[in-house]
Amino acid sequence: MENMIFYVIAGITVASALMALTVRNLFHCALFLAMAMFGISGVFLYLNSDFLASVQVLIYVGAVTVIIIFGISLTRNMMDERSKAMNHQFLFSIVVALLLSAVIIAAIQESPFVGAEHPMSLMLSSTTGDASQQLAANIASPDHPFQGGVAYLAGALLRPENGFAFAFEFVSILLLSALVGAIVIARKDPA
Amino acid sequence: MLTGENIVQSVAGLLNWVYSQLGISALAGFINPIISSVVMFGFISVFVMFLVWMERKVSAHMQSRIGPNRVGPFGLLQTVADAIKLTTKEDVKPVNRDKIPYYIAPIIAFVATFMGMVVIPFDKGMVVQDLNVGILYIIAITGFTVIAILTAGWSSNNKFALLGGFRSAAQIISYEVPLVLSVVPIIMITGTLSLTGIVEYQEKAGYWFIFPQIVAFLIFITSATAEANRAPFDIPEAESELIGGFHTEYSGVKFAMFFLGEYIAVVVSSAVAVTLFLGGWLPVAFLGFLHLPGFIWFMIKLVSVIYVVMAFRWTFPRLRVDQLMDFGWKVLIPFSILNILVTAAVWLFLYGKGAQ
Repeated sequence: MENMIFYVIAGITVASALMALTVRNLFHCALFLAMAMFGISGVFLYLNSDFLASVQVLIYVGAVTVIIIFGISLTRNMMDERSKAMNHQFLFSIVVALLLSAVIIAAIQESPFVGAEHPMSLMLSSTTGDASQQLAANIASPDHPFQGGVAYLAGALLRPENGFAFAFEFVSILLLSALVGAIVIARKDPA
Repeated sequence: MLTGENIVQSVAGLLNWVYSQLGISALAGFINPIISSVVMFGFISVFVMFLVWMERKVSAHMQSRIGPNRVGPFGLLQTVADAIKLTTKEDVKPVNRDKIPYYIAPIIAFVATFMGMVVIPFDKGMVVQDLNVGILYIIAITGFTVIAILTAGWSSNNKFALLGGFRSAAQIISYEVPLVLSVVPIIMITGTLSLTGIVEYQEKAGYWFIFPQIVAFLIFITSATAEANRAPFDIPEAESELIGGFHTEYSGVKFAMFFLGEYIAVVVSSAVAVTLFLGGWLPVAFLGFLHLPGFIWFMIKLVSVIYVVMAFRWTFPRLRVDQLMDFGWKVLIPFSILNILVTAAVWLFLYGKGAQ
């Protein structure tokens, strides 16, 4: 049952991602992209990571896709069905995409989710009681892979002993410089 | 005493009995959320009808008119009549529309805002689903309205609708930033993203967050009004400039869904304001002798906040586009960042490192 839920979510995500690549109308592409992003947040929810799911929707659907729609609406010929979908770099990009998927698949094989029982399966097999309480009890142990709450994530990212704190701060400075850079580029008079 | 928790428990008990009679107890975890969502849908539909009536009465009062007074007592059934009219109207569609996006845009606009209602705690335990990330979830899911508005504007194949859609997207993205930033101090103080948890913190602390966080409250209400595309921030649908903005080409039921979505957005943002800043279901301190159930207090506060938002609409003139952007980026965002810094500093000073 819980695998069924995953396959439905994954099917929607992959199908809309494929549609986003193949549909010729750019506006429809952007809408399918939004749907694919929403599907990915569904995968996060399935992995019991409600914080990541919310942030995925907030950033990728609410901001990135909207900016993309903005961009393509202000571009010419966006509705042209005959425009070419590929340029001379497409072979190179296929190689990069394959390499990237190889890396991601390798990383997934290493993840603690592999072989772990999904908390929902226990919830489904029980016949009585409060579902959410049982779910909470199932993932109570601190090293359970399905523990993706916001407090857990904050600890994993920011505790110095985990070694991600520097990277986290570094990324925020990178974003800040991107913000400042965008403002500098958008300025009309370089005073 | 009658409380929201008691009501929910008795209904849950009744439902469990029904499930056991039907032999489907195992499915309770799946059926219960559906039932509570349907109840919430019924509630919100009736409540929005009341709000439309209230809006017309408030505007009439502010303009020395009487307002609806023909259908039902005090014109209360006027919105019911309007809803019937809207649903039975001919559905006029532009020939060169982009068919599927044109069809789904009003659905997204309605569903996105309605999904925000799911985590609003009306009383202790009286909530469809209390998520751990409640406040973040509301901000994220209501962000879908931008896509709905852009899609509506685009697929109508009408320059006024497209312009309205663009204006709206620019406005919502700009005002989403101060909206999120104004919530951050509350999360820092309480240490939780759950709306129920935030109200419980206020119960324990004995004060509402509007008192230490009045700046955040003002920023939140202003940005939420802008997010809901309501006057004085209604340039996406400015009637005098853009005919009707993104929903120019919509009529009948599809228009009704945009309309409903806009009002639900007002309800959601006001309910979040009540929960974060006005103590949610907690009683008003000096009126505590009344012993009203928590959800009654919540509704009283909710209607009061909505009244203020409505009063905005009929008091202030519409902003120009550049004024709107200036106000959002140069006033609200710096003030909300400053508010975060000051709150963090004061909280560290008062409670030291382990502030919780």
